Formats: sequence, C-alpha cells, structure tokens
Amino acid sequence: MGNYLEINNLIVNYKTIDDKKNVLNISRIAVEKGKSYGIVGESGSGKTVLALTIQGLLATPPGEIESGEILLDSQDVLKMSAKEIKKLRGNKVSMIFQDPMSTLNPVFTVGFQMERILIDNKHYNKTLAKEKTIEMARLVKLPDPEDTLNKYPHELSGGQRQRIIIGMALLCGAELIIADEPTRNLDVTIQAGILKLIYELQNDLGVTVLFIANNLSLVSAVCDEIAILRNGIIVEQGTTANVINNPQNEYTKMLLKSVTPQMKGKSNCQNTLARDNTILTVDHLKKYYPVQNQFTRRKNLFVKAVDDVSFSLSKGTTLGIVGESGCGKSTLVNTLLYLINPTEGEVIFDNKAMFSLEKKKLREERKNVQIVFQDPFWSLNPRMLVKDIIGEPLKVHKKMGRDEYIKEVMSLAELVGLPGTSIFKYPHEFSGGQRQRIAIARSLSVNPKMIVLDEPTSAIDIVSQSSILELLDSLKNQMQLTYIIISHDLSVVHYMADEIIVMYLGKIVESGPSDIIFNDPKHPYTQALFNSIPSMSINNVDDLVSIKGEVPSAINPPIGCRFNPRCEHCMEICKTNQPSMQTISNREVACFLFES
Amino acid sequence: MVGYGGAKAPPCIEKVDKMRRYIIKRLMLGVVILFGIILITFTLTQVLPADPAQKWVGDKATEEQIEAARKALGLDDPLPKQFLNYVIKLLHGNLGYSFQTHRMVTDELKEAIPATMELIIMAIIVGIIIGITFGVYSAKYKGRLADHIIRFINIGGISLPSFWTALALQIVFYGILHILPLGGRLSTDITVLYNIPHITGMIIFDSLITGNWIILKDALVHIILPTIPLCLYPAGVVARMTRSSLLEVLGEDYIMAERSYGIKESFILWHYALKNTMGATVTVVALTIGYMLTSTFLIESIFSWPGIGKYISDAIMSLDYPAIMGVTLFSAVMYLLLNLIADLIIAMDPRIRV
Amino acid sequence: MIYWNNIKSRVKDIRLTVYLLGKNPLTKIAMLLTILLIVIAILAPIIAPYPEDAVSATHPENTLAPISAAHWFGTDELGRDIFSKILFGTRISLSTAFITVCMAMFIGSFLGAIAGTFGGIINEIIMRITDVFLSFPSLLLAVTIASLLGPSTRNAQIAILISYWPWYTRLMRGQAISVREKQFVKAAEAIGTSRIRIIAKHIVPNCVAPIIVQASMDMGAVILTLASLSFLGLGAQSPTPEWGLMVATSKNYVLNAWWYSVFPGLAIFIAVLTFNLLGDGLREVLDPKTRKN
Repeated sequence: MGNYLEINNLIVNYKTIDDKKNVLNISRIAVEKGKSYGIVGESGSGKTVLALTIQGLLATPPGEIESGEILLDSQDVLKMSAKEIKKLRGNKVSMIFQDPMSTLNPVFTVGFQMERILIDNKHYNKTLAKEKTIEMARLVKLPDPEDTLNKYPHELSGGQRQRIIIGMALLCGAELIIADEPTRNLDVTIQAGILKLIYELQNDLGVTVLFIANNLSLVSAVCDEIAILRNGIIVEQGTTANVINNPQNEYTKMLLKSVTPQMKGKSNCQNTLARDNTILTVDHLKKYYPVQNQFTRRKNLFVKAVDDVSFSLSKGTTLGIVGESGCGKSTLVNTLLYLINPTEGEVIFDNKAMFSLEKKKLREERKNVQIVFQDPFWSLNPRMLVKDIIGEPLKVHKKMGRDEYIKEVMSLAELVGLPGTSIFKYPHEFSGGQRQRIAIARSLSVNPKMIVLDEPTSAIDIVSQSSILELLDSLKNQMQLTYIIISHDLSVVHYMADEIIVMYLGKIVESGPSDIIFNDPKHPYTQALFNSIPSMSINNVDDLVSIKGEVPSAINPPIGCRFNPRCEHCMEICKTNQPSMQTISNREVACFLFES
Repeated sequence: MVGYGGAKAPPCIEKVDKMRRYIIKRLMLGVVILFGIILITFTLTQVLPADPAQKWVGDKATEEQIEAARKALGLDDPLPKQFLNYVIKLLHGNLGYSFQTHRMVTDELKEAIPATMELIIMAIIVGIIIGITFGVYSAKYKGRLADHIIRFINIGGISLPSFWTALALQIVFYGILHILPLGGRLSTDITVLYNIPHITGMIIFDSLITGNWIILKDALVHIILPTIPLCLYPAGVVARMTRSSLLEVLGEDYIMAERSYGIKESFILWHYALKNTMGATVTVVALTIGYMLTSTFLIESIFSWPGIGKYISDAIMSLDYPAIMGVTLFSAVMYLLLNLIADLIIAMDPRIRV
Repeated sequence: MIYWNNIKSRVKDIRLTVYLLGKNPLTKIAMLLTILLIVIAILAPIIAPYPEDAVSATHPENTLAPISAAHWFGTDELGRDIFSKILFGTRISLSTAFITVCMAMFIGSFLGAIAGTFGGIINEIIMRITDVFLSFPSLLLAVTIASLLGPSTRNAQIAILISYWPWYTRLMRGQAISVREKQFVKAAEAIGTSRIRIIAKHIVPNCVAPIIVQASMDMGAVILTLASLSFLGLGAQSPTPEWGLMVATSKNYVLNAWWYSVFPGLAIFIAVLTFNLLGDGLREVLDPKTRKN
C-alpha cells in the first residue's frame, strides 16, 4: 500500500508584532494507507499547527508556510487553491477534536449539526441525511440514537459528545482522519472506550488515522508507527516497538522515564521512624451540598461530595489522593483545611481541633498549612508584583522591616529556582512552570508544617513537571515537610507518594502504602483505574479496561456500594449495603469481596 | 465545582422544571421591584415643591376652594393611608388627574401610547436590521477599512444628540428639499377625507390589516423622519454588540470544526455563528428601549408626534406633576416588563443552564 | 534600589497600556480630542473672542447674524457670539461630566463591592434597591427629579447623579463575584489574610478595568443627558451658555438661523463622540482577553 499522507520538508513560521518564530520544521512523515500514525508532543510543540496545516485551516495572517509539501493521496495540499482545499475538507480529510464541548455548536442540536454536514457537503436531501445520521450514531455506539440526536451538546455526557465528534468526522466519508488529543478531556475510565472505538472503526472502515497526543503511552497503545515532536522538529520516529524499546534521542528517553513509575526506596524507612508522629487525623468528615434551585430547596437532596472520610497522616510522609474528576478530592482537601464549611466530622491538625478554633487562632494556625493550587494562571493575583505574592504570608503572619522582607522574598525565589530579580515582575511575564514555582515559594514563606498540592503539575509541560517534582522532593527533606498531593496523573502520585488514598464518589475505596497498592490493587475500581490508563506495559488496545457506564451523579449515588452498577464482580449484597474498610494484605479496602 | 454526566430524570421534564422555577423567581423579583417603583413614585409625589391643591384649582382660587380641593384630593390623611389609597388607585388603573386638563392621566396616556409604540417598534426593527448587518460585515472584515468605517459610523450614530439630528433632518428634508413632511402622523387632508381605522391605534398596523393603502402610504411617509434619529442608538448598540459577540464566537473551536467539516462559509457566518450572538443582542436591545423611551420625549416634541414623549414634554413645560408622575410610573413599569420578557427569552436559550 | 525597581515595574505596565491604546487609530484621535477639550475648557476665558457674551452681555443690534469673520459661528437671538458661548459651554459640560461620573462611580462601586464580597442579606438589600433605580430609564428619572427640584444646572447634576450610580453598583458587584471565585482569592484565604485586606488588595484592583471603561463612556452619556435636560427646560437656564439650552432656544429660529442649531449640536456631538471612542478603545485594551496580544 502506498503512502496516503506524506509530509516533506515542511517549514511553518508564526509572525508576531516584532519577530518571526519557527513553529514547524518537519523533514519527513509518511503514513501508509489504512494505518495509524501517532505524533507525540507537548503543548507548544506544534502538533495542532501541523493538524491545521494539513487541512489548510491554519490562520495565515499570523501563520506562514515557508516551504515544503504535504501530499494527500498524491496531491500537494499546499499548492491547491482555497477552493480546492475547501473541497478537500470534510471529504478526504476530517478531524476529531480535543474538547468535545467546545467543538460542538451549543445552540443547535447534535443531530442538526450532523445532518448539516451531509446536506452541505454531500448534498443529500433532508430525509436521507437524517437516515444516514442515525446510522452513524449506531455505528459509534450511542445509546438511543434518535433520542440522543435531538439533544443539545450540554445535555450529553463527555463520552457521548466525543462519540458524536467521531461520528461527524466519519460522516464526511474522509479517508484520512486526524485525531487531535481525542481523549484529553475525558475521564480516564471513559478514555479507554473511546480509544477502542477509534481502533475498531479504523480497522473496519480502512481509514488512515493520524493520532496526535501529548501522552506517549496513549499513542503507543493505538498506533503502528510514532514520531516524537519537540519544538516543531521530529526528534525520533519509527515503529512503536522500536521507539519505545530502543529510544535514541534524549528527549524520548525523558518522556519514557516520566511515564514509567519509579520505585521510591527510602519511603519505608521514613515511615517507621515517623510512625508515632501523627500530624493530621481526619475523622468521619462529610461535606454535603444541599441541592438548591434559586429560592426553593429540595428537601433531603444533597450532593454528597465527601461522604464519611477518615484517615490519618504521619509527619514527614507524602499522601497521594487519586480518583477521577468529581470524586471529591478537591472538596476533601478544601474542607479539611477549613476553606469550606464541613457538614460533619472532625479534623485534628498538629494536635489542634481545626473546626473548634476561634477565628483569630484559626488564622494563626493557617501559617502551618499551605496550599498550592492547580491553576498556575489564576492562583496568582495578576495585579500584584511577584514579591508581594510570595511575601503575602509574611505580611500576614510576621512583622518585618522592609529591607529584611525583600531579602527574605528574594531568598525564597532563589530557593525554588528563580532568579532573585524576578520578584519585581508581574505574574504574566512567567511561564506556567515558573508560576507554579512562585506559588510554591509563597507556600514556603512562613515555614509551614504541611503543604497541600492540588494537581501541581497538570497544567505544565513534561520538562517542567519533572523539575518541579524534584524540587518538591528536595524541599521536603530540607524543610521536613508533610505533603498531600492530589493528582489524576498516576505516575506523579506514584513518584511522590508514600501512602495513597483512592476515592470514588466521595468515599475512600482503598488506602495504604503506595507501592503495595500500585503493584497489587485489590478494589475493582482501583484495578480498573490503573488498567484503563495506557502505560508501557499495555501495548494493545484490547488490554485496556474500560468500565461500563458513566460516573453517576453524586446527588443520587447508587444504593449500597457506590461502585456496584459498574462493577464486574458485583454481588447481591453490594446492591444493598455499604462495605466498610477492611485491612487486607497491608492495606485497607472497602469491598465485599474481602469482607470476612 | 461538582459536575457529572448522565442525568437521572428524563431530561425534558428536568428542563421544564428548571425553567418554571426560573420564571417564578424572575416574576417574584419583578413584583418586588414593582413595589419599589411605586414606593419611590409615591415618595416623589410627596415632595412636590408646589401645593397640589393650589395647582389643582388654579391661580385665582379662593381659600375655601383650595380647602375643598385639599379634602377631595385626600391630602390631609396620614401618610400610610395616602400610600394605601395611592396603591389602590393604581391597581384600578388610576394614575391621577392632570393639573392642566383635569382629565385622568390614564385616559390621556391611553391615547398617546399607540403613537409612541408605533414609533419605537419601527425604530427597533430598523435599528436591529441595520445593526446586525453592520455588525456582521464589521466582524467579517475585521481590521480592514470597512471595519473602521462601520465602527466610526456606529459610534458616531450613538453620539449624535437625537434632538439635534431631528432638527437637522427637518431643516434638510422639509425646509430645503421639501420632500418629507414637517411632523405629525398623517397629513391633514388625509385625516379630513378618510376614516382612519382604529383597531390598535397604531396607524400603520391598522391600515395594513384593513388594506387601506392610501392611509398606509401617508403614515409611512410621516414616520420616516422621526424614526431616523430614534433608530440610530439601537442600530449602533446592536452593531457593536453583534460585532464583538460575533468575533468572540468566530474564534471558538466549534466554528473551526464546522469549517473542517466542509460547511459553507456563508452558512457558518449567518446561521451557525450569528445564532450564538442572539442572546447578547436581545439583552442589549432590552437595555436600549429605556433610552429610546426617553429619546422620544425630545423627538416627539420636535415632530409634533402625539405620543407619550410629547405629552410629557408639554407636562414639563407646565409643571403638571401628576402627568409627569404618571408617565414616569408607566415608563418604569413598561421597562420592567420589557426586561422581564427579554430575560425570559434568554432563558429559553438552550445554552443557559438555569 | 528596591523602591526604584518597584516603580519601574508599575511604570512599565502603564506604558504598555498607553502603547496599546495608541494602536487603534480611532482611540488615538479620541485621546487627542480629549486633551483638546480639556484645554479649551481651561483656557476658555482667554481664547474666546467675546468672553462677556457668555455671561451676561447682550448686543440687541446684532441678533441672528450669520457666519462672518467677526463671529465665526454667528450670533444668537440676543446678539451674543455663539463661538464664545460654545467655548464656555465646554466648561459646564466637562465639569458636570467629571464630577457626576466620579461621584457616581465611587458611591456605586463602593456599594457594589460590599454587595459582591459579602453576599447574603447585604447583597439582597443593596441589589434590590439598585434594581429599583435601574428600572427607571435614566433620562426619565433625571427628568422627574429635575422637574421636582426645579430647573437649574445644579439640580440637573444631582438628578443625573441619582440616575447613574446604580450602574456602577451592578457592574462592580458582578465583577466582585467573579473575582471572588478566582483561585488567588482562595489562596489568600488559605494564607489567612484578613477579609479587609483581601477586598482591598485582591478583589478591588481586579475589578477596576470595566469600571473605568464604563466611566469614560458615561462621561459622554452625562454630557448628552445634561444637554437633553436643558433642551427640555429642566437644566441650565438662560443665560448660561449650555449647549443643550442653545439648541432648544434655536428651535424657534431654525429655519432662519441654521447656524444657531448646528454649531452647539455639533459641539455636543464631538464631545460625546470623543468619550465614546475613548471608552471603546479603553475597553479593547483593558479587557484581559484581548490584552494578551
């Protein structure tokens, strides 16, 4: 089979007010017909620019194609007129987008949007278009096709929307499908289902797929050949097996390293030493949000964001909290820090009952617990200079002279790896990784005993990620800190945490030492969670475990064990009673499979 | 924030439920505000600089007549009782009696309202059509000369003092060119010769329904000049809102997606993208109505258009307070209702999760 | 050294704003015109050829004279030089606009900030009162109040102030609510910063931008409202050289002395246009979305 897509010597630049930046410099990419080719790169590597250029959708005022050729089925896209390219789009090539919510027009039903493609592009009449649309909905495994098609995008779930997007790309009858991070915004457990769908459709329909992602393991599970893109240049390419097992380039090696879980040898020692020094105890903590519509309150209906959570944390350890979006991790942490009013329960930090402290004492106590937020952009006041941001805790909790203050702030900046002079700048002059460092410096300024990190690395690129994690690690030893890390990225948690807690719908399903749980997850949800994420050990899409169903609403959680509707091992008792935590094999699990 | 997929109740019931709740809340809010408005207008009536009794009977009244008037107007009663009377009268549609004509303000308003309504509706329709067209082209040619010109025209249109434009138009089209009439709704000969249909009071509409083409033509000719200064504001505001809203929408991912699916560019611009701007446009039009209501004060008096505006400017001239109050109250309530309707229209927008 | 660095950063920020403002040709024109208007207002007594006409002088022998070298804009029905009157009118319009808008802005924003940050009952009370005021179209409210207080420039200013403050409350409250939810505010809470400090240092500085945009556009709106009130007879009274009043009086002579209506109206138009353009330009620049570029 010949090459369906060939890119040779493509150079693309971006023109800003003052200068010209080169965003793509690709020597050669060749994709055989009917195969799937993966391109792995971080944000800013140029992958989206590539995807847009292939379809002729690159906005040419800022963008500029300097040279090269893109051969689509032996025709050079770059030499075509605007009219010819328009014909190409939706016919020979179509795209599956990253964020299904933002790529569907919110004020039209999904059915209308799908039919429109057929009417405008293929000139079908209305009835035929409707028929074909329903057929396609079935093909992408949407439940209740007719009903679903009459809905608006916001009424569907993330997984359903992504299927619609896939359907729309296929409706164009395209021969080349460019999938731009199709699973980025989905829950990990839904992700597997979508990947499988793409894989099946590719095989059944014989389409060529160009798969773009920032996750190496994801791409390697689905694609035959891959290329690593960094700053617009392909640093390595070849068959998946070759690249993964025999990486030549340094960058590739770093990507592989960050994805593979690492062992932390010292964790056990530290644990035994600090065992009797419990710094935090959480006791039956609950946070219920009453379901409220305008002025009326629905009685007895609550969003049970955190439902009876108890655990304790020893000084000097790192606790990782994992779970999918909406499981209650952030709420848990905000509640135990008393940033949100708890519904019930007690939290004892450093031998003080947090919820019983009076206002003044509470504020004083705050200096011992600091939090680094997820969003490096909005967690820093855009109108404040960095020196005031880092120094705010100092201003609140200590009295210092001006010169002393500046000295202190400068040394903090240097502690986190930023030049001392940078404190006189505004946050927007820094990159995401640097802003996160500023946030960390802020949290360190008053020598806290514990730091909570809420998704500290999810908004930063891979290179910065590893340096931030290393920084955190060294600080921990230096300043004898206790960490709580929340992340949906299991590799981050595995790297940092000594102990972990797995949460589902507001409850803890499994907790214990992280090595033990990572090597041998017991709870069905934990197993599915770890197995639905493509990792280096999983090379085949079929091995991906996707959990059936969607994450249910926390307003009406299932009766009995929360996980029972989606669990493969569901038994009768699971549907009626809630399991309690049992100690099995050095960790605690809440599951009837293990109840004696 | 907690957000999950997969609704439990059948979605249409949930949607209707939520909407009903919103409507109720919005109506309750409206009632509270209405009460506030009435309270304020009542307070204002209490701080009149002139003695209402004296004004009522005129300058040449005797002491007894003034006393009698005072009793008749209920001015000696304690405040809460006056307020209660005021509210009761309002509920019966009684806005008081004009000092000048001694007729019920309500009756006089009733005659004046259709004329103003007609003018405003005309101005809004013309304004929206011009505004959306300008806005779309301005967005389409963003940054180019056409865009700058249109934006300048927009802001220029909004900045023109309406009374000045009205005068200027009169000078040019009547004084110099003699092609359009000086004012009024119909020419005097038409009113004399023909029987004007009176169903809604809006001449254009009535004559359209009854098929009276001669009257229709005359009415249309008369409405041209007053409409122009009035429509400049909504046109400018709608154009600006459409432009900024459209530019925002065009930058959204779903537009790029639609292009990649091969949808026609004109369809994308005029349907897919434009529909997303409707919510904002409706809000903004609702806001302009308040401004237009007051612009009519000025324009109607210049064109002798027998609507609320002329009524109130005459009332101001003679300091006829009940008339002024009546119009104020009426306008405020009208404005409230219009905003309510606008809010409800927006609530039907499928994007808004209420 | 340290304080210098501090100041340097702030200055850089302001310079960036001014630079961005200058990029739009319309805004550049607006800025120049604003300066021009201010200069005229300050220097009116010096520039005007017949300053006494703007106050009380009358020249019955030269009524309604057309444009000439001696009278660039002609004379009115009492023989006064229209050009001089317009120049002096700038003082009235600009000072009214400035004072009224500043007061409305401070009062309104203060209330809005409180409503937005504290929420709950305070929010409900403040907002309901604001809503009631907002449900009167502004000119209407101004007209009613002005007619009650009696026609004069001062009363017109009061009436305008009462009509305009609610917009700032609503605007500020909306901003305060959205800023309150941002992570840096939560971060400040987590640090233990006191409520007052959070409002002052975190919330308010981030709410200022739309308020400034609204204020600059309102300057134009206030000038127009004042002119409209005077046109109706409720604002400035003769012989005050207010632009709207001049157009009103000119109505009677419109067919004979077109210059009497045109030039004062033109003055209103240019002043309002200037501030609208300025506000539009400010909005483009201060909106964080468009600022990134």
